[in-house]
Amino acid sequence: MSTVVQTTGLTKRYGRTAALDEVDITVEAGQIYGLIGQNGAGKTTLIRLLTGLARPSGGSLSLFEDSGAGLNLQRRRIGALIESPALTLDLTAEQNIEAIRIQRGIAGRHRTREALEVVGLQDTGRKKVRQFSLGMRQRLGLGIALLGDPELLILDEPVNGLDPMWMATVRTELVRRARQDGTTVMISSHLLAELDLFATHYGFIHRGRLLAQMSAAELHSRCQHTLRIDVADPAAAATVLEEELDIRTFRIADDAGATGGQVILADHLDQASRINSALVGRGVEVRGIETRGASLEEFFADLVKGA
Amino acid sequence: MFANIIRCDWYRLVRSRFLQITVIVFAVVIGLFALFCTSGNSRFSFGGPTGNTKDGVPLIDGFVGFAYVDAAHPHFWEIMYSATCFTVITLFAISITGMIITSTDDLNGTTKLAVARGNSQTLMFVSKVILAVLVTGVLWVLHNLVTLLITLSQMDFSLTGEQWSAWVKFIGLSYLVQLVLMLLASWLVLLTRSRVVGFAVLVVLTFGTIIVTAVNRELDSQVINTLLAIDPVWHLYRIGRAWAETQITGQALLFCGVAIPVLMAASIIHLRSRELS
Repeated sequence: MSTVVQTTGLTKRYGRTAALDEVDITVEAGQIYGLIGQNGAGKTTLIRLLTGLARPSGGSLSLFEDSGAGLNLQRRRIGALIESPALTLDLTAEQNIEAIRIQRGIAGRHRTREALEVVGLQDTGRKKVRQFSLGMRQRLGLGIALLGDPELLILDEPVNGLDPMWMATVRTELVRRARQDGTTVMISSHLLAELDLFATHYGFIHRGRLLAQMSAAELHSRCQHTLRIDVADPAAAATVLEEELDIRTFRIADDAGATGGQVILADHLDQASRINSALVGRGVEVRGIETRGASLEEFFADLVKGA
Repeated sequence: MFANIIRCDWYRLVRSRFLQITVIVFAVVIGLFALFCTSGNSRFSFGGPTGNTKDGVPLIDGFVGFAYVDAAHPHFWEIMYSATCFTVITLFAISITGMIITSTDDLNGTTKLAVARGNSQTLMFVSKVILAVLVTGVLWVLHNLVTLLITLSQMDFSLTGEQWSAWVKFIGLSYLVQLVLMLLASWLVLLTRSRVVGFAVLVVLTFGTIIVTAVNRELDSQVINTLLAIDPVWHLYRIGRAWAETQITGQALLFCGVAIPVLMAASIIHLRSRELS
């Protein structure tokens, strides 16, 4: 399997601030790579570096195993949607795509029609883009990115403003391209649950640093089961766990807006009864106790807390 | 690939609302000119005579039209003054047109799509400059041809071959200086990402040059003279006298010969280091 995107120690500084700090990512051909991070984590900065909109302060990057002077040539194989869709508001949807088709030298006017049909804008006729809704503009931006069947799709928050039906349609189309055409897809998003439906690999970015990179299978196995105890007094519960049971590997999740909280243990899942007895014996009110798997958001929250 | 970039820019331009507005404004300006020309006693003045004459024709600074010493027997250069007096309007029109053509894709974000596909920002800018020169050049020639024909018709005057040639050189030189102004405005918009700044500088240059020139007639400051020498509006104001004071032609050509490459180079240098958000 060939490497489509590779970065080594990729860094971008603005003054003293490192928007991206020594990031090493690898994306292989045919993968659907989800780039996850909070707002301002560095996802868009990474995308800007990959697409040549910004220059790295340090490190290196390669596209299709080509770097340096060959990068701009390789970028012709990319279709991108970067932040908000870039559209000419005076033109219709068809004219916007046709202009890009001309600019990219893609033969065949039917390609414009195909791109419109993929995103469901083939019937917009003479309506100018300035009259489009946010969702329609987003779809048009996606249509432009998909024009000409690029080998690498780089999509920054592609489902922004889309209704659930179109989010599903976009997902299906991206999966089809990856599986049938071997297209490599790199998607940045803060919606982990949405990506979980179709991404094959993940990169987690926080404050400019890559925290982890893993396959979807590995991510799911790491969203491990935990023992969750709802208590009225989390601090007292913590004291009991540490002093009486010698259990120190746990975290407290406060229930914002209500009294009490949750004690979450990754170990000692088979000692629920013993722990409950100890807590109740020391006067800590236990409201509930269960064993369940962590959600992806919780996994990411733990990852960020440990960073 | 450069050909594709130009074709794409042309495709967008001819379908843009801006071009439609440009055509309408062009027609309105021509209409206004025709009104001035045919109204009998109207005189258009943005500037005035310097006090010197040649062959009985007052030499002017700026743009003065429909002011004939003897309307029954107008001099060729009085005809030229009248036919080109609306240059004070076109200097804004040409610069604004160029500014808009060269900056639209930057401001609506479509530049980033092209860059993300490996296109050079320099080539994309050059493509737009070429289009801007094409559009403004054609409109400039059309404007002058129509205003000349209206003036000739109104004054019952016809031109010899030599006079046609003089007209071509005159409007060609005027256009070159306005091209400098257009490139200056485009460069400022590149730097600041603000068309307001570009327009403001145009306004300040246009009116400021008049004031500074008038003040400097008394002062004759060398510093001010040097600053005026690199002011495209100053050169444009003087071009009406170039037929009589031939050194003006040489100075304007030298100015354009230096300013055009310098402004293009400055724009390209900026583009090579520019990052797009």
